Amino acid sequence: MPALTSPLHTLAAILPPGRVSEAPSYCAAFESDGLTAFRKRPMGVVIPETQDEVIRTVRWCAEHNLPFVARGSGTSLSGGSMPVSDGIVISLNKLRAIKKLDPNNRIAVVEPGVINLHVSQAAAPHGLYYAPDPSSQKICTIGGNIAFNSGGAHCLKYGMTSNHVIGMKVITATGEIAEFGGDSVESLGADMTGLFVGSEGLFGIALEITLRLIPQPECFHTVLIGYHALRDAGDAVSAVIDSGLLPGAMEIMESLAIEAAEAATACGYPKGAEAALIVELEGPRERIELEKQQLHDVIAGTNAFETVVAADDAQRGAIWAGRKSAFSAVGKLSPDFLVQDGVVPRKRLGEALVKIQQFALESGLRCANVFHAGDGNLHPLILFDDSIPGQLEQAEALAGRILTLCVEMGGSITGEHGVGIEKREYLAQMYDPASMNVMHRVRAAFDPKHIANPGKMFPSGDAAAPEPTCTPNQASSDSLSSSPIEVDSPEQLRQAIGDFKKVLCVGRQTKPPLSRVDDAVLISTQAMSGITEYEPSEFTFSAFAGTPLAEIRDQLETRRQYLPFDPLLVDSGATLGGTVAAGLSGPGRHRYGGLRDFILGATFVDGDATLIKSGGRVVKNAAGFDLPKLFVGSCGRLAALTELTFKVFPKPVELHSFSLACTDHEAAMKAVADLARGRWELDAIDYDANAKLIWIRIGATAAIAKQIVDDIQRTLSTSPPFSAADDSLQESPWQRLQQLDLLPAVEDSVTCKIPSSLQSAGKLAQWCESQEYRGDARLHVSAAGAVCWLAIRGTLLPALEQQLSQLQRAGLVICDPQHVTTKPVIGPTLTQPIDLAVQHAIDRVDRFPGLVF
Amino acid sequence: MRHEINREQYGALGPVMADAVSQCVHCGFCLSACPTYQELGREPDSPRGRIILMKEVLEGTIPLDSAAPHLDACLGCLGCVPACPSEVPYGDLISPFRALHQSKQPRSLGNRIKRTLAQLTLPFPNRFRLAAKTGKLAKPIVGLLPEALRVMLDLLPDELPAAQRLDAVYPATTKQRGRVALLAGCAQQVLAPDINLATIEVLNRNGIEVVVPQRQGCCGALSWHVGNLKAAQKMAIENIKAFAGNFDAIVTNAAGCGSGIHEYPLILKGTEHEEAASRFAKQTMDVSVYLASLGELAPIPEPTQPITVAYHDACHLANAQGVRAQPRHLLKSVPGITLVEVRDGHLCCGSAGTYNIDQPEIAASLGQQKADRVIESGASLVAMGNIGCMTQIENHLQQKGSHVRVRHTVQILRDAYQGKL
Ligand SMILES: Cc1cc2nc3c(=O)[nH]c(=O)nc-3n(C[C@H](O)[C@H](O)[C@H](O)COP(=O)(O)OP(=O)(O)OC[C@H]3O[C@@H](n4cnc5c(N)ncnc54)[C@H](O)[C@@H]3O)c2cc1C
Repeated sequence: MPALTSPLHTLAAILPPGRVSEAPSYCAAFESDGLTAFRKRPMGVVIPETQDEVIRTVRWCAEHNLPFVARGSGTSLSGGSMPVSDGIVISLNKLRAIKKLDPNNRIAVVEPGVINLHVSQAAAPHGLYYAPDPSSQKICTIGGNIAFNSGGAHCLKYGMTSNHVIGMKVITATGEIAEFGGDSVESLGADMTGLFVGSEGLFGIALEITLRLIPQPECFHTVLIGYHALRDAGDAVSAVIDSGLLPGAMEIMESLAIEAAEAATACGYPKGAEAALIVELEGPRERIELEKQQLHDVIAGTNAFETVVAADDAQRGAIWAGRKSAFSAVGKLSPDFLVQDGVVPRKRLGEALVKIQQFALESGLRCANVFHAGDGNLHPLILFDDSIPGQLEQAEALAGRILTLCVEMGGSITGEHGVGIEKREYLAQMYDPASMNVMHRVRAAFDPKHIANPGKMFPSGDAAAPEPTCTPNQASSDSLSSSPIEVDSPEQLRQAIGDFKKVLCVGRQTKPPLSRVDDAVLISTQAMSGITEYEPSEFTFSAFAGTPLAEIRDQLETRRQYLPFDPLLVDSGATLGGTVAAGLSGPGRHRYGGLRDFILGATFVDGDATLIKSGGRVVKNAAGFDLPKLFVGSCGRLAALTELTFKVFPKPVELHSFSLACTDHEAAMKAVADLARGRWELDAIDYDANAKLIWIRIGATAAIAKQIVDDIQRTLSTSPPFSAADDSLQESPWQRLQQLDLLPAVEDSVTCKIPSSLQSAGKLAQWCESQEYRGDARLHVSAAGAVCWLAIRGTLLPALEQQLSQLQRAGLVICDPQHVTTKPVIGPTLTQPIDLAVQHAIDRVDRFPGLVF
Repeated sequence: MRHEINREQYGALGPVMADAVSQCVHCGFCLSACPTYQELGREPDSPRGRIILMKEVLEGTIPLDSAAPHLDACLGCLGCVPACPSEVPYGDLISPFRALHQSKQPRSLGNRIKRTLAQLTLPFPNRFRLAAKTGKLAKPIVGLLPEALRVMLDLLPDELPAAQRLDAVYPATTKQRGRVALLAGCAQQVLAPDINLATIEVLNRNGIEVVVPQRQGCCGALSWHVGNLKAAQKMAIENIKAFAGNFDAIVTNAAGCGSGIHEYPLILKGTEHEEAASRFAKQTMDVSVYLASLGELAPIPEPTQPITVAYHDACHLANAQGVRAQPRHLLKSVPGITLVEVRDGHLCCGSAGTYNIDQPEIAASLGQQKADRVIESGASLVAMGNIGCMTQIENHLQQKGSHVRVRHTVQILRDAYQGKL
């Protein structure tokens, strides 16, 4: 490579030879991503080969104030990885090691340049896969997926990237190396992992990512249905949703897209269809057999003119190949196109499509539509020819009208492709100035100098970001009364927050150790209660923070829906806000994910007493930072939550529980791993360590549950066999855990949640069993080994502390009636500078007490 | 993708190249199929990157010598073509581009000698024989030669088979069903004359008369792919003349030559021969395609023992000519053969024309990977339809001490007919 002339020579000097180039060939090749309408030549390109080289490069940038743009495979469709002209591109394609694959705990640790599909390929021999499947999965990287919280056709059931990323090591734009989350699907403290996912490269670079793997579905039932009218296809989607089925994917393609895909892949789509609908059911054969018929009946009631059921893997492959090649195949119809990515409430899909067609007609450009119908995520492809003067502007104008339409309909400007450079001017349509300001502040916590991917996501780039003034915390000294102050509306809450120097919100205080502070006024939200919106056909509801979970449960029940994260302490009166703040999910989280995986939006009051909206009200939204996730587990230390929006699912027809006696903990943990990796899609897999009993729960009719449990027995040759349990009985372990009543006989018991692995759970089980502590400790291992619920006699706390440091695990104290503990966390914890910086970005005046960690 | 290439500036090939660029939407799907991207992990060494680089050079916005190293590194395996949902005809861009820019490119002396040598010898069986022999003589002093020349010698076999002169006509040995002309190939005639014999025998046994036009020459693919347009055009015109006659098909058995002939319309674009070239290309097909088109083959005897055969997709057959199913179908129809796939089969073996001569490191790495995958398949025999791949894979299998035998698909068919499989 020729010698470097620019300031980059000092960077080259700290890296091995050949890593830095400013040759025209490099600068040209990296000038754009999947959206070629936007391009810019960088000053140079760095292609590091190790994490350490990335770290050195970022630190050099921080020191020299030189912007950098991280880049994976450059398939972004929003200009997210477009370079900046006065900065460098850091291409991460050589960091492609899968560092660890742990089939028992079902996780993989990968470097950012690892290709999405390669994770699934590596996991396949263990019967596992990595669920998010963007159409670009053959080539896009996990780093890029993280930046945009990428989705795919199969998001409806299993969620997006952020639902499958459980931990990461990052370098922030200031050069700080931080670790978020860990190897368990549950974590303690504010969910920084969730915040980083979707940050569009504005926070820094993800260096190592821990991914959750799930068992490959045993059976697929893939149906391709032809309709003569788009509206009919849209209606069919609603009919499927209303029937209570939860398909893995539901996709619609319009005639123009069908034509392109058919030409590219000969995928066998229905001839003459105005719209093709793909519905895919997935799961264990016993259930699919039944659901297949149900789906068939639903489809028969729609205006379908042709229905093709994939007969084998090859035909299923062809159907998906057509869908997944649709974007690029459009390249055959038109030299250039813009892919839009708006989201609308599902029930307004038909209306939105008609409007889009009308807009396209008015603009004189063609528009092909492909969309994730189950999520209401539209992908209008606007076809144009950039070589014709004015057409790009015309296309952008049309795109703008579509985006505005999505916002007006209560949706989002992006479901999965990110804001990037293309949609940045529209972000402010979704969020009011206060929300935008808080996002600017969070960004500044990671990147005060605006050197990480500058110019993206925020309207008019970065410079114009108005720095909101910060009202100093002028509240007079607090009168600390013992009972919390009641508020009954967000406005009252806002005022109350402004009135006191230090405050902490509480719900009904079902988890007292989390609100035990001595320097803050407690404000109770329990009177700020009620469901504000429930849209069963959208799978969403919104409710005030003080709403009791029981009320929500009952309301959802009327439409046969439920909270899939299986919240705890429901009958003890727990509120929605308190549950979010504590970040608590129950055993049922095993099947579809925890609380963090279902929260969509959060309205909150920050330290300045400003009411701020974050997230959205539709099931899919990748616009702006994912603040709602950040609040999960934050224990009220970042802000006061006022209203929350959640995704819900159809409730399993019935739940049936079975238990299996184990000889020892080691055998039990092995059995848990086998159960979790199997094809059965169990609703819950827990282990009562004291009783040496594994408990499983199956969400299906009694007959199917029986078939499944019989098959488990055959496959794992378990002896003794599983015994069926009566779920209504009080002694079922679900009930005990639900009430967190693990050691009722011990008065000074302390109950804590410890995110763990199978190994750690096994060791904790041994520890509890050891002679000394017998009877004084009870361990309930939940979520297939990922969480330990441990109750111990208060006198054992020091011993537990020691044990947890050995295991390098921490616990959060949820119950402690006798006030034995002095702080809500036990075991080793670490507050990193970035954690504090983020807290300070949201609460600039230290209104809320310090972090629990 | 938008471009500002002046369509008029580059003669008949200008619009071809411009159209290929404009069809690309920069989606990156080709990256996963590109062996050099896999090896190097650098955007400019991917098909998408190279398309940008060629576009920029054609537009005059970046200098050729900055783009050249990345374009030279392209194997021309066309693995990107089937991977592309927009169906960018990558070959229609890189080959004309190379043809246009070859002469303008500064190269090291060793590299120049190597390229010239390859072009001057490989296409001419007699010269190649001679050169190969000289090469053999030089093998002991290999260490003294410039690096660039050394790799060429390393590829030469230690023993050359006896020279083979082909007759003008080989009549069908069973009831005649058709008549074809055979393109004998150049390097292949020297390195493995048996492939032609096997081709002729299998065709004859199936009632096909085989004519070997005596005035045929090199197909010109090699010259075309290293950018010598004039030479390629001359060879193409000569062959079109040599193969004049009434044939059901013109049969090729070297994928490189077959794909070369399919490029004649491009090579002769804008000349008076363009139409003849199109007709010629339409008539030309790989021997496996022709055999498969016959339907039922003459019965093949049961072998003494079953055998596992792996099939390797030659890039110039699978990607350039879209021939994947037919050879597999033929092999499966042989009694006793269990056909297995080679993992990552879409990746080039690193041979790709003169690539193992031009880019030895990448070629060697790809060759080793391919050998590993072949060994891992558990087959005792690996079939393919291209002499270049055969030399490369055999070489790397040998280096690994493997006993897997490398055979041309028609050799396996012939052996099966003779009961010698
Ligand atoms: C044909 C086609 C189909 C597509 N289909 C889908 C789809 O179905 N669903 C979907 O969601 N998307 C889809 N996309 C969009 C795109 O593939 C995704 O956004 C993908 O996640 C980008 O990955 P990448 O590796 O190409 O990232 P890049 O484009 O290189 O980068 C994307 C962003 O990530 C940042 N980034 C990259 N690596 C890191 C890192 N390690 N740390 C921090 N930031 C980083 C970059 O700065 C940039 O902002 C499609 C794209 C194409 C071309």
